[in-house]
Amino acid sequence: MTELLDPARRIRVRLDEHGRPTHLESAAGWQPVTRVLDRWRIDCDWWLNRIAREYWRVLLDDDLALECYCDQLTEQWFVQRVYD
Amino acid sequence: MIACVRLPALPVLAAVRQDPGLRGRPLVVGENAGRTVIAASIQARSRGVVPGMSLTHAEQCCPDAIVQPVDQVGTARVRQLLLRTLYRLTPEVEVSDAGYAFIDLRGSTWRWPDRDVLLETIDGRIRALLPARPALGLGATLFVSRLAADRAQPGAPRLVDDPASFLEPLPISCLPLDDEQREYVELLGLRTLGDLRRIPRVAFRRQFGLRALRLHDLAWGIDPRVIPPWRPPSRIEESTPLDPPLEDMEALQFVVRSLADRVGELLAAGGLGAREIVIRLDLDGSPPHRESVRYAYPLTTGQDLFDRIRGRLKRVRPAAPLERITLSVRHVEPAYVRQPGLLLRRDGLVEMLADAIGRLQEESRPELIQRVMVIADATPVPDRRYRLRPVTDSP
Amino acid sequence: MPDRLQQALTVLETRFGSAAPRPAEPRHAVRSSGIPELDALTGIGGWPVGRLSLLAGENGSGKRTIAQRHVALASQEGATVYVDFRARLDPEFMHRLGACFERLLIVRPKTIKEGMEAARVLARAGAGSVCLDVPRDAKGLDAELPHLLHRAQDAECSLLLVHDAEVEDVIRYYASVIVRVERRRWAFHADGDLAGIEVEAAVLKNRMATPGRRARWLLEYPRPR
Repeated sequence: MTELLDPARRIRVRLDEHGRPTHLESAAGWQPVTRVLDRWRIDCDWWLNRIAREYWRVLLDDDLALECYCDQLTEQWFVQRVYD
Repeated sequence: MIACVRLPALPVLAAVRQDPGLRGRPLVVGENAGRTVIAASIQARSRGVVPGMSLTHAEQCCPDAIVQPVDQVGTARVRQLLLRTLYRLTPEVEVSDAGYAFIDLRGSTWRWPDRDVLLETIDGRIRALLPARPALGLGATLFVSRLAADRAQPGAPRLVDDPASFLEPLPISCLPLDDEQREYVELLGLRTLGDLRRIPRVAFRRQFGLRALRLHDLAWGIDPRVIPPWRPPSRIEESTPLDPPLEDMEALQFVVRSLADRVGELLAAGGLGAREIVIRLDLDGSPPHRESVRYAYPLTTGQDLFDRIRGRLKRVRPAAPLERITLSVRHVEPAYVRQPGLLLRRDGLVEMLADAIGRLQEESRPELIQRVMVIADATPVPDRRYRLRPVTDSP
Repeated sequence: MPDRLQQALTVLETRFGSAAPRPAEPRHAVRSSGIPELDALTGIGGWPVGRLSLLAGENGSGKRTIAQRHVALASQEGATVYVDFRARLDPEFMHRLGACFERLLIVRPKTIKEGMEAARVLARAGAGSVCLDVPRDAKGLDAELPHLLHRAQDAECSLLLVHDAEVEDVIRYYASVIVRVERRRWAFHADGDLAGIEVEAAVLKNRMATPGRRARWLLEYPRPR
């Protein structure tokens, strides 16, 4: 199924001009995002410990499906789920 | 079937236990501050002394009465002795200071198929315990059994199989009437329970009110009161000094094993099991260290108790050498025959599994075995909505 | 069995050894994997009870989806243990698979030894199914497995081992069933989102039925509940 990385692991991402991830850095180096499967936003708990994330479900190098998000408050990227 | 044991009032029994020479004498136990009679021996009662009357009045009724102050500690001790003795027959026991002990025998029929043997056993145990001969009454309810005991003689139990005919001729004063009700009953000319029974229930309610319907029920022998199970408030503790002070935790295991065995023996003697044990380590020159070990169900044997204590002690790193170790049982419950595989807890785990989880967590750490909690109202991100939490011991 | 038939069988066994006809094995107790195709593939209707089954495959092959489907189903029936050596179990997906969290115990050990001991104690105490999700580097697993297997046999507990790496011979030896899974292709919904994967599974070893069977099916990811 999926593996949950808790806490989510920080990663480096290359974006295109529209802000879409094109490459993700892993132990094997920079890998291309071959397909964006889904994306959605979550912005809640604004009154307490706000969460503002943009989630991306992507296929990496046609081999690995991942769920990662960009924390809108810090502009940092994290990978949270790996499909197995 | 409920058995009622009639004894002298407990303060009287306490006084006689203290001074056996008082047995058979007209004894009045009073409260000095209020100058009222708390209890009186049969000899004093036969001369008209009743609880609640003033001590001056009692002395007028019975000039040779021996008046003693009430011994609260002694009375409590007699109550505990009686409860502990009867508790060996069934946990559903109740003792009143007026000298009545009730025993619900409904759960004991498989153990005591012969009622006469059971009654003899009760009689024998009480006589061995207290300086009095009990009178025993048996009936289907608390009310009937008490009236039966009042009409029984020591050594000749009174069995009521047909409460209707037993109650019929009894005086109306058997009922717990308040002053107003007593007056009204006299006004209506009701003298026996049979007289009262002949008033239809609806008419009785109209005359006496809804709350008084209980009296009508009692007159028919109907009494819904039950005896709640009693729990012995025992304090079981075993301690041993360590001389010279001990630093080696491995060596401590042997000492603890023998202490656990001693605690187990005390528990077994009372038919009890421990739900929680507190380990107190007195340290040389440092404040004592306490650890509490909880069990999923009441354990009795030293081996069972030690299995969990051992795991806990492995993790303890005392700051100074140990001078004394004490094991005290905090939660005591009646022991039961362990059928762990059959017992299902509220959380859906069988007892044996719950116990295994507790043991594993004890030996390593609570986070070793966890369960998923769904926090339904949390933000729908995986790290907020789903949480892993250690499986807790309490069902 | 009549005496004459028994005699004939003895003669055949003397002449032809293991090729001689022999009585069929009694039906084996099993727990369903939750996937009909896989149940059929094992030849006995699921993972065998009291034995070790091994699910092997590379990262992304779908073996954990398969294992967790079994765990979710088993938790609906009784106490189930997931030994999460890698601390990566995703509770949300277990929820989507319909796991009963009341009866799902998640063991998060720090060492292989600690995890195997917990599995052993829980199997003995009545857990019906134990799933071991072991890391790539599982040093000491081979030494601990026989003890756990022994408990599982006594307690009628099914053991499922999920392994990424190339499996050591010792583990191969202890396993009664070995299923190797490979991902053939990704499957997508009409909206482009991931629907699941098409997997191909092969039974490499089977002590209860014929080994060597292969099957291919679409392993769907569960939708949010």
